[in-house]
Amino acid sequence: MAIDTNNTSATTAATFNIPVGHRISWGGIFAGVSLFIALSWLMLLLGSAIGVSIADATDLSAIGDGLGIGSIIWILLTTIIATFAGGLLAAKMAGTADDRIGALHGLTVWSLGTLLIILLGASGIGGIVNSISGALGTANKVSMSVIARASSSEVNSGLPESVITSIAAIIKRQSARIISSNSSGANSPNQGEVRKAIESLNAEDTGAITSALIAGDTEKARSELTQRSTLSKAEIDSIITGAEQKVQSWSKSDSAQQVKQWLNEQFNDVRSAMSQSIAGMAGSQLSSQEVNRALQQLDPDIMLEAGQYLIMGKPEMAKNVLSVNTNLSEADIQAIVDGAEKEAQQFIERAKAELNEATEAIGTYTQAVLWSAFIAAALGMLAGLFGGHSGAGAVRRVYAVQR
Amino acid sequence: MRIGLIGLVILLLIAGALVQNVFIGGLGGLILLIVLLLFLTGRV
Repeated sequence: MAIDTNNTSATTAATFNIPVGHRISWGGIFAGVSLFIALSWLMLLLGSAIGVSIADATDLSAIGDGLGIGSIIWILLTTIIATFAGGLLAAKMAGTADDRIGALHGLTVWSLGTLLIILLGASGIGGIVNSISGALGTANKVSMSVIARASSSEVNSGLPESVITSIAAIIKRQSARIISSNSSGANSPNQGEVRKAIESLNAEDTGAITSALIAGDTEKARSELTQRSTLSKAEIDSIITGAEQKVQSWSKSDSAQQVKQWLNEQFNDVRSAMSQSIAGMAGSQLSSQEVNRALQQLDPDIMLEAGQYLIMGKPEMAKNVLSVNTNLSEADIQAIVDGAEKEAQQFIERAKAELNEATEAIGTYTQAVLWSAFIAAALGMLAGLFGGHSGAGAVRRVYAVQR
Repeated sequence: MRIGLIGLVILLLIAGALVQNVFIGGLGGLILLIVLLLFLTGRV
């Protein structure tokens, strides 16, 4: 509809019949945007119902698998359908027979709808009505949780708290080994018994083993038990087998609490058996003192502090912590730190590799979400233009019929 | 011309989303912007 600039304005108006006044219908656009948001919500519900919705931020295993092709297609489909319908409705409500003006209404519906979704997303309720907003929110939440976990360690080593605890456990085990090997006296208890008594499992150990059991990963539970205790293979096997049977018989909802309780009972049994065994064997004053000394000096806080220094690669500081806070001899401390250092290093490397893997998986997921969001928005714009164009065409057809 | 351009954009964008390729997706986005500008200026 080019305007001939050579003619006078009066002739131009008469020849081309340019509509006067406002050509934009905000009522139509409002209706279109409402339909756009409502349809987005409807499609999100349908997506959830048929199982192609966006993974939950708490479902880390699903996120590790990446954004599925089904989810990507659903995001695209939702945006295209919603913007097309919104644009179509806006153009029809505007009542324009001009394709171009109809398409511009569709474009406005897309832009206003996108703006609203962004605002809703920023206020935290976008994920409820729109799949893109939900996906972006999920990716953001997961990234934040991983960053929070990585930075939760006091030494800022990028390792989670559980690693420090495990390093402390390694030091503790090493200490027990050294102390028990140095214990003397005619009736001193068996070295293995002292070690077992000292290493009786605490609440954190139980928690780690419980979560592995609940996840159905018996191999992990077995390795956790082997790592965190010096129970014999037969004892570990009996605990794991028993737990497997118990877990199968319990319902999903209450299994966590029950497994924990059952495991605690098992550990308490082992613990009390060891104490009785030591009490029976430690007849002389000398051996009892040594056992007491060993138990008292292994304060969890000191072990944690020494563990942190080991993580930071400062074994000398770990030795200082132990020498200041315990009555252990220098040779003992030397043996403890040197022995624990190698084991701790392997553990740290493994933990770092796991953390990197998790971060990489989340990075891939976030990238997939952003790609989908970008393509969906771009196709949504085209769909809005087409919708408006078709809406104007529909208006023309209706008027033609009426004439 | 209009149909051809829009078809190309849609093809590139969908391909870009599925393979998550920077060049394909980026080219699709760029052509889309050009088409939009042409449309708004009344040339398409």
